Amino acid sequence: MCKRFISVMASTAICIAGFCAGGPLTIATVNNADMVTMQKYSSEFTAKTGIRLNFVVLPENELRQKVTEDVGLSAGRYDIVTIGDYDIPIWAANRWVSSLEPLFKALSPAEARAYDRADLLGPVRSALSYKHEQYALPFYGESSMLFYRKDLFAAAGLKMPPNPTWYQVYDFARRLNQPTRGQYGIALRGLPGWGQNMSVFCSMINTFGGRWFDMNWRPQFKTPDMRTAWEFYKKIITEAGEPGATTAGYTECLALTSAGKAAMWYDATVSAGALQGVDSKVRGRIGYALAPTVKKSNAGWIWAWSLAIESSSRNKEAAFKFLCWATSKEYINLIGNRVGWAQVPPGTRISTYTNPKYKAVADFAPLTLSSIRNSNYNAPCVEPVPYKGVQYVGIPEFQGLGEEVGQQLAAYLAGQESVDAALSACQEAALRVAKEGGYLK
Amino acid sequence: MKVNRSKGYARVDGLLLPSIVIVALITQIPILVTLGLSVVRWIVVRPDLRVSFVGISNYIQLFTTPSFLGIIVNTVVMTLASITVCTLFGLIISLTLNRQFPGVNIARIILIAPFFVMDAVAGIVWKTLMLHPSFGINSVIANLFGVTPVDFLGHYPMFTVVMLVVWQWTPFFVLILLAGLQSIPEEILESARLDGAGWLRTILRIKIPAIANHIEVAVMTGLIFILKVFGLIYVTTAGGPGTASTNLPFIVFRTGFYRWDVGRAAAMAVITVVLTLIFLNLLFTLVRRKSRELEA
Repeated sequence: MCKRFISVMASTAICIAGFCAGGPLTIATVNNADMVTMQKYSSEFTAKTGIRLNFVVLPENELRQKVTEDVGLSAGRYDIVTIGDYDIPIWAANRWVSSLEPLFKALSPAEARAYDRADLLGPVRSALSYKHEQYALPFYGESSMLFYRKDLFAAAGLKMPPNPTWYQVYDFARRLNQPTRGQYGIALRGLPGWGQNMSVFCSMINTFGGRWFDMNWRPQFKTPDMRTAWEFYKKIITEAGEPGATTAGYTECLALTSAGKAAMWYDATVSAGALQGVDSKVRGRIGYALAPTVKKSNAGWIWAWSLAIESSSRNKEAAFKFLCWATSKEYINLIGNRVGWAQVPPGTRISTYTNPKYKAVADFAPLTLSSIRNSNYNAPCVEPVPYKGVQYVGIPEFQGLGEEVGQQLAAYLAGQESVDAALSACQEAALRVAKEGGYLK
Repeated sequence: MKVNRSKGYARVDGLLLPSIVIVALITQIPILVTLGLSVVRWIVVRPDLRVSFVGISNYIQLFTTPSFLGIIVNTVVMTLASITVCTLFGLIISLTLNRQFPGVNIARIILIAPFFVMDAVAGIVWKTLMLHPSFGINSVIANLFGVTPVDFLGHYPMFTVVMLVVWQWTPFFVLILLAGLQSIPEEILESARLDGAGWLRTILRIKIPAIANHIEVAVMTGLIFILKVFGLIYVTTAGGPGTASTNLPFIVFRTGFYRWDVGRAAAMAVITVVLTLIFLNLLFTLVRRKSRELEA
């Protein structure tokens, strides 16, 4: 009896000791190609530090749900979470993720030099900060740009300017649109969703002079600029875009463009790698231009999948070591040498864009860098706004509001609603959010 | 030996108690929690607003929102249309399969297969490979005839969702109705033939009344499952465009996991349960009445 009691106590003590000392780090991450590569090479980190890693890999939407549940309900299942720049200020304000400043201060001069924080791209770093403190480290970053088929433009005697306007893009799209030959003038996301059609359309709203809210948080869906943006979006897609646009998300547009069915595509800079990949039918025939503009000269968005440490993590120091490793120059070199320089995570470090090996394989690198540098996360619209974020409104309620507006946009695009009805519904939804969220002044 | 009936019942009740407790815990606690959550204001992503009791204001807000009433109508239309078509097709196919012909077993397997395909997989295959106006068979057929492909999901979202539900759920109806048809004694059918009943009269007067209970089971079970269709909508139309193909389960998900508005999502879930019970009772009464009429 005594023996059994002792063995039970001993096992319990071992379990408690193991728990307090910190088991493996649990990392919630998204199932995109760059993250999968990181998981594959994470054994290098374990070999170097002895810290074991446990990955929970989920699709993007599911990741956000699971991780929000985890932090919102204080479940504390994950040490490290993969989140975007939309989430950082909100999560930091809610104290769901830890500030990295104390951990950076604790680095030795040699470690700080090796990490070289100043090498991180300014706009990306700014998007991952809250009240001048950094809460996440960027794993890969992106802006938006216009992809176009150089061969089709040359054959039609057209020339793409480096910084085109949306009206020029419309004109090119009309001229190159030949649906009977399976060639569409432009591919644009139309699938409803705050991370789908709204990513593209929000940046259009901004450059057309529209905004979601004024400085007093009064919704601005009934302004002439907003209406012009809505009408233009429908016009360009219905007259020169892909058919069935309301079912075309990022993946479908990428498939259309890489299959040679679209003469232009406005989307994330990170797509350049896929368009120049071995599977792409348009490899070597793609040209790049900055995000099209109308009234605002810098219209590109900014996004960074980043790694942050949950406030409830008991292994913050170990987690910070992993964050530093996965976002370091050393990791970029590792992937460049082992996987290939075209596959290194883009949009995070200046040194990536000065690296001759990367520049040799990535003809899109200079424009990606200018697009990221050009984007204005803090002042996204022509007129002043009380929120931050280019392709989103940086408030917690935007996930719901963005979905609702995205659906209204799709209904308008599909011809199921008039522009007036859709804009009124959006105005109402935005007003409800402003009132219920306590923003309206 | 005297048997005390009342004691016997008491003993049986005592034996049932553990099962009753387990079932009650599993089924009733979530319902009670949902009811409790439906009277609070709790937005997960706004912890600064605090969780507060709001009484029935979540329900009032929902019933005064035109789009929510539209979603209830969508749910009713989607469910009734799917159930009606599934029953009709199920009956026709099961009558066709209820005979011997070469390859009958293969035909049965092929016709029943869609039921075993997962919602998400079926949705993606239909959306991308079949109906997509650029990549799908839809596009190939349209190009063959030199016409513009139809944008099914954009222009006819409700029709398309009902079509997919029917595609997926008709085999379930076929399975149940076929089992019913095969249980009809051969002597009854033989007597009908001897009495000079034609094939249509045999179906209407003998076979359908004989499988009334099976139809009832298929419709009831189908109703419960079709009312909560989610995966197909999520991967094909995402409830849109607008709210054209949004049903109650989908709006509960969107409110709960995009707006993180737990109170309103719970209120919607309660309304969904109440509507399901009303539907089931109405249908149950209707089917019972019809069965009694047929028996008479």
